[in-house]
Amino acid sequence: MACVEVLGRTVLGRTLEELLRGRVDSVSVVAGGSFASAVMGEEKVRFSAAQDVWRTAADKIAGMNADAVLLIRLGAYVEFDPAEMLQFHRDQGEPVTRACNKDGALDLWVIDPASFSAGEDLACWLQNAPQASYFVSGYVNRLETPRDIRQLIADGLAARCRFRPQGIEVKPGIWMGQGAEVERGARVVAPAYIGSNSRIAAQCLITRGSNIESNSQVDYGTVIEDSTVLSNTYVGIGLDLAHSIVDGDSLLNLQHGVVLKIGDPVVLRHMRNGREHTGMDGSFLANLEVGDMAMSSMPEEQQ
Amino acid sequence: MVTSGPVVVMQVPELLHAGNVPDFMEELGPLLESNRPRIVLDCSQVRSIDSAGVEALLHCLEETLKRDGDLKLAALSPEAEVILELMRVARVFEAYPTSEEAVRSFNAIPVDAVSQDAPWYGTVFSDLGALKQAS
Repeated sequence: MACVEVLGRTVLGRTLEELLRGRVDSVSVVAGGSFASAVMGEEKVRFSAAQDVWRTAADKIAGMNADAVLLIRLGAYVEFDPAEMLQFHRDQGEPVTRACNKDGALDLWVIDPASFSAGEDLACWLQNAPQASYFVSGYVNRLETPRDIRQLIADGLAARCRFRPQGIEVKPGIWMGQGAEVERGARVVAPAYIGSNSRIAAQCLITRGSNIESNSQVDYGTVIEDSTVLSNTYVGIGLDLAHSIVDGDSLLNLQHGVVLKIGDPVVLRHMRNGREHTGMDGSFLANLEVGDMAMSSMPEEQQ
Repeated sequence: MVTSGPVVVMQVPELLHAGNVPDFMEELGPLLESNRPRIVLDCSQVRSIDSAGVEALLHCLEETLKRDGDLKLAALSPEAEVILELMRVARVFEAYPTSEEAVRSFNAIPVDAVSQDAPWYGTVFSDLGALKQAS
């Protein structure tokens, strides 16, 4: 989920941007499985792929020369102030500070690396170490279910959070990425998002908070309603796509709660000629759990 | 008097794709050519239908309607429902939760129950006359 482009940018990319905008010195991203390291060309960010994400994260924490490490297990989208959380951690004086919101604990910790011994099981240590709870009052979307993705998009389009569409607001509530094209006769009803290099053919209707991510194509006369079309996806002629998330030839219908693999390339297909940008290849809907982590350390001189 | 045969219930295969549409049509062919065909397609097993499959279902409906019959769908699996909605044909078909209900729907208004002697508007006009008198 963290590497899936939503409203023009991945959750990982947005989280990194927020961290780097704050007082964070450097960020390490550890990911399991296939992973696009070119999420953003930022010098302060180091990427590594690992079989055992927790083990790799533990090794990195043990080797860090910082008095506080921010550990984020991506999945949830959380808007918080890293500097404020670090200050809270320092004030509490516990080895671990874990963030929470009204719905419970979040996978977001500040760790005192001196309290953590190399070789320890990081996940167990985080459970058992004395800890303080830091309440996040900002926007949180746990991104646990596909409905959460649609909710995040709705909230982003309605400016209820900082998860804003990437591109230009061509009309109130209608956002378009670079190179996006809407043919004459097609209709886009706000709020909606058309990602970069995507094409909406004539007589199409894009409505009710739908988003068409980058390098996708919606063909002649198709109606997209309350739906998400993920990157590099072709949606065929004369279709009625409602309450769904489409990723290549996979369709998840939220109303009926079914995931379908459409074996008919004239209906739905993955567009192979699209630019690589997410590291996901049509498998997102079948694999919603990812174990990606972002860790950041605060330089001692800034604390 | 117009006669019609029994209602035939047929199971739609799990995958109704271009590859097996000819087999499906071959099985359904004799039924479609009968007088006033009354067919229920049970879609409970359907997991996937492609555009050729949808085309075949529409062709079957067209043939039955041409012969003054009807084709109804029953026990649509969520997958079949999503595909039919996606391809904008869900509203074209009459659909029922079960095959039994679909079969019963054919017999809801038996042809024989409608009198061929009295005009259909007879009762409407007599009711209207009564209303006028009352006012």
